[in-house]
Amino acid sequence: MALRAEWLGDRRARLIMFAALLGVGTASIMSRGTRWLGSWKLAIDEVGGSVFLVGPVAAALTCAVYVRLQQAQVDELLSQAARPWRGWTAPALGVWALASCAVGLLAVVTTVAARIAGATVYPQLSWVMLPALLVLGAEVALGALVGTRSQRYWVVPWVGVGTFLLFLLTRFHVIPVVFDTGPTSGELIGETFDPPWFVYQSVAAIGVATAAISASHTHLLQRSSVAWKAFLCLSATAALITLAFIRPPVDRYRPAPTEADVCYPEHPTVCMTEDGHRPLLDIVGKMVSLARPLIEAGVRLPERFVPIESTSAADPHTGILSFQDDDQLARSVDEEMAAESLATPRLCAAYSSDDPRVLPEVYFSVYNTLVLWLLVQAGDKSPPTDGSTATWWALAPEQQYAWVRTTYAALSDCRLNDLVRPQAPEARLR
Amino acid sequence: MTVLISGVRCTYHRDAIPAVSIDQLELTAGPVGLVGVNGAGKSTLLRTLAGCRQPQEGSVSIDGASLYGRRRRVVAQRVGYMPQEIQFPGELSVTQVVDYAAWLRALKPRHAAQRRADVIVAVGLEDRADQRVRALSGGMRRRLALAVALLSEPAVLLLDEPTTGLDPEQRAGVRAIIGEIAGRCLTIMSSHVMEDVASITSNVIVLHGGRVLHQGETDAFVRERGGPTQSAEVAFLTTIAGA
Repeated sequence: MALRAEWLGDRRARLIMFAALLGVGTASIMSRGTRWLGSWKLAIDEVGGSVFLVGPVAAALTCAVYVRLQQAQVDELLSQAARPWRGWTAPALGVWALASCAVGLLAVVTTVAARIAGATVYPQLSWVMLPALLVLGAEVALGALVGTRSQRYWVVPWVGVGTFLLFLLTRFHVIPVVFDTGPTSGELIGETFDPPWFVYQSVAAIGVATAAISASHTHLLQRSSVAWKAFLCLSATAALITLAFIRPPVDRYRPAPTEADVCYPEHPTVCMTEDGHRPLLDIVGKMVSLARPLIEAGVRLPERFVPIESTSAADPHTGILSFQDDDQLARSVDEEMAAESLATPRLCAAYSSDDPRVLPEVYFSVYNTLVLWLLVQAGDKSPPTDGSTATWWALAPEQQYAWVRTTYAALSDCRLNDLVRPQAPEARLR
Repeated sequence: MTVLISGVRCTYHRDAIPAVSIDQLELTAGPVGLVGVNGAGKSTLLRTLAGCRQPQEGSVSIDGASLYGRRRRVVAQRVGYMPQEIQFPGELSVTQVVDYAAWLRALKPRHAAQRRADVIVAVGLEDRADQRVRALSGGMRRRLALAVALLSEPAVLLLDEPTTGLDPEQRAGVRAIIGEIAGRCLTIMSSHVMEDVASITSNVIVLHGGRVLHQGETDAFVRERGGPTQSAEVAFLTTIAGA
């Protein structure tokens, strides 16, 4: 079907529209920085999510186009057309195509950028853009409906505001998930998109789109083809059934099937999940450097370190990488994160127990001392000069090795009740 | 070519007085002038004849084929319609407007290209083919609307107030073009300007309150009712006054 752009203005106006749509999409994606560079899935999710801003702008533009169309009194021209409905919907399709191109371009740019940044590509998940574009279509159709019915230019900005409000109402679960295109506030590492949720959204969005565009001009609708009328009935019925009788899945995302690990065979070996391993090299460099004093102290390091969501995290010979916030998506991590990871040589059950008494209080001070010791050895921090452990900190490293060895062995075996704070030899004598 | 209107009732609101109420009207020879005061039902009747507005009651047929029947799409292709007011996008050129109309009319590309050239020449806009609509005068815009109406090589051409709002020179230009085209198809033209009706049409229909008050040859209409000055306007006013 040919796309007609007669009512969208001249080439310059169309370019401005495209730039505006691209601009708000970019603003939406960049509003939370460039964290999406660390994950292809997150990158495409951010693009889909940009519809929360692109949609309202597209709806407002469509509204303006249909106000123009109505004020031009072309009803007769359309009514006489061989396919009046095609003529009527062409401007809406034009705006939708323009907005879809903007979103598509953003998808290409962001996913390629994520790929260049080192993220693993999941082309099989590209389908997630389709529901986002259908939601965009529903918003465009609502713009056409309001523009036609109102025939007033002053409603144009309100259409944008109203469509954005629909997104907010969806986000806060006041209305069904039709207008929620994301994006997630998480990292999507170890997660994937949940198809039933998107099918639910797509069916509802198609229903809203067809119902809105059909209601925009019921007179011309009567002249539409039997195929369109059948499609309208089918989609409206499917949407009604979906919204009324089917409970939407709880979340857009679900745990991903087992992800492969990407390992860097240094000592210690560090592995990260395939879908988010951007900072791997940086982590390896910092952990190898920080682990040297541990190795000199005679500590036996775990066979490898992995993120907590990795399937091998429960392995008794596996240490845990202590990621905070968006560490996993960043290009680099700080030394403290690397030190904290080295100080977690095993995932002990007590760490995730609901009963706080399972984790002895001494664990926290021992853990913090070990992290600090690693950072002090690397020259990143200074040892404390006062407090109960000041005398121990004043000892030569060789004299501190015994506590480090004992502590590390206890942490590796999850013997958390055997942990003791470091003490200088004379303090023990006293 | 015969346009037959049978038992047509057109209302805008339920239970309202019909805007058009015609028991039987047969149009075979043209050009036909459709005259009446504001609200007489001229535009409604033309919209109905154009296939744009299905009457609540009755039927319209062209050479025996119903305009609102199963073959509406085919029958409507035989009708060209120039609405009273239409504003094409100002940024489009004359050629682009005609192309757009050809797309709406679902003309095949090759045929559309040929027709585009023909209708632009027919309305005398060949020198302005690349000019934007916003740069055209009122008269040229009316001619463009006429070109659009002529695209599908209509057997029936409906013109709703084609000269309204034009200055005398522009009116004369549009009138000359219509006069030339009118011989090729059954042309039905509504107008307030009795001078136009008298000079272009061979038959006249006077509508009043949606009903046909008079139908006959234009010359006889003016001769019999136009008073000592043989004025078309006087003939029209005399007819209306008798209603």
